[in-house]
Amino acid sequence: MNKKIKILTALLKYKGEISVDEIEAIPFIKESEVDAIVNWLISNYDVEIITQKKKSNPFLEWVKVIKLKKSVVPQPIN
Amino acid sequence: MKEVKGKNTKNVETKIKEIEKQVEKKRVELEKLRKRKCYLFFGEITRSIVEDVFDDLRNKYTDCNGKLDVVVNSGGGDIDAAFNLSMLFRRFGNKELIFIIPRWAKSAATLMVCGGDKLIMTPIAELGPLDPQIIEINPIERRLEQFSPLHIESTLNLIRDEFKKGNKELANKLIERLQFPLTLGSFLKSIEIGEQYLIRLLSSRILKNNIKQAKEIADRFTKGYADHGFCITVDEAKEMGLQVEELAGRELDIIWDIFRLYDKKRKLEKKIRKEEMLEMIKELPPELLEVLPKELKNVKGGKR
Repeated sequence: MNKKIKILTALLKYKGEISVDEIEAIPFIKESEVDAIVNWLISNYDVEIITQKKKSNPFLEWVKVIKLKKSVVPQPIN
Repeated sequence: MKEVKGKNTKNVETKIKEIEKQVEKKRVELEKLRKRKCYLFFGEITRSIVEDVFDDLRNKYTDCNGKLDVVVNSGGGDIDAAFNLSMLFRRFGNKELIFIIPRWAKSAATLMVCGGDKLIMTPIAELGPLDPQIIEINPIERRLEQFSPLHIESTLNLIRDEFKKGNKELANKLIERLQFPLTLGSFLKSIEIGEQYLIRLLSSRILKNNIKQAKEIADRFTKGYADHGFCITVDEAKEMGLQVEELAGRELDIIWDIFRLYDKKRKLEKKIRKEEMLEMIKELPPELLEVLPKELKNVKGGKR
């Protein structure tokens, strides 16, 4: 789990934001781990959760995004 | 971040567009069959999606003459937003609002669909309990905990039992690990949020002027199930006293096709995202690539 969080943290810092859909698409992350990982990111970094509209045609689609509020130094991973 | 779009990705994108066209065709077919407008709501309920749905309805659904079907496939989300959305759909379906559930309307989505005049469910559609899920950092152990307020009562019962059995040391240790009493009290109180919203929705449409039955159903949805994931099927929803019908015939075919097509689209989108994420991981610093799990060890590169 630590390795996964380390890579996720790096991706979040690198991109500035990461969507839940993107986290789900990372091959080594299981669907059952996504909620725990999202919550870990929320509780350890200064982030905001936003809903981004993907498109409205032919039907409305949206995605939840974790966005860094400001430059954050990752905490050491034990 | 450079954008890499291979031939394969383009093919998948074409397939996705084709699926979207098919979904739209099915939606229009359903509208003709049921002689009313149909709205598709597929996804998590968030606060800001209320605004986007509002825009969508104002742009495309002002001509629905008070009759509206909403096809819902959602695992839930924000309970306040769910209540607000339900009230919003009511404004457009002010004569008749019907929620159609192909597979899931769990948790907060259950609350949302209880705001209509009727539910129509496939034989495998599921509603779910409404006990809130609390995610908190345990202040003593500094780790995330996810639980339902219903677990507080069962934990207190466990401690009481240990005291009764004479295991005072164990009971005291358990008490030490409990959270601040006021926090526990506020968690317990949070059950009432879903309960109050549900009573309001049920007693103003499905169970109009039957506040007693609305309260009984709300009590069952918020406190009557052992687990948040509990599967509440069409038969149980009927037995509870909700106005529910089981989908059949051509309507079932169309709704199930829409669900299957949407699922296929999600899988294809995931395939594209997977490739994009692998590209991004390639660009991460090499020291991070060294800790990659075995299955990703073939990822080459790394920004230096």
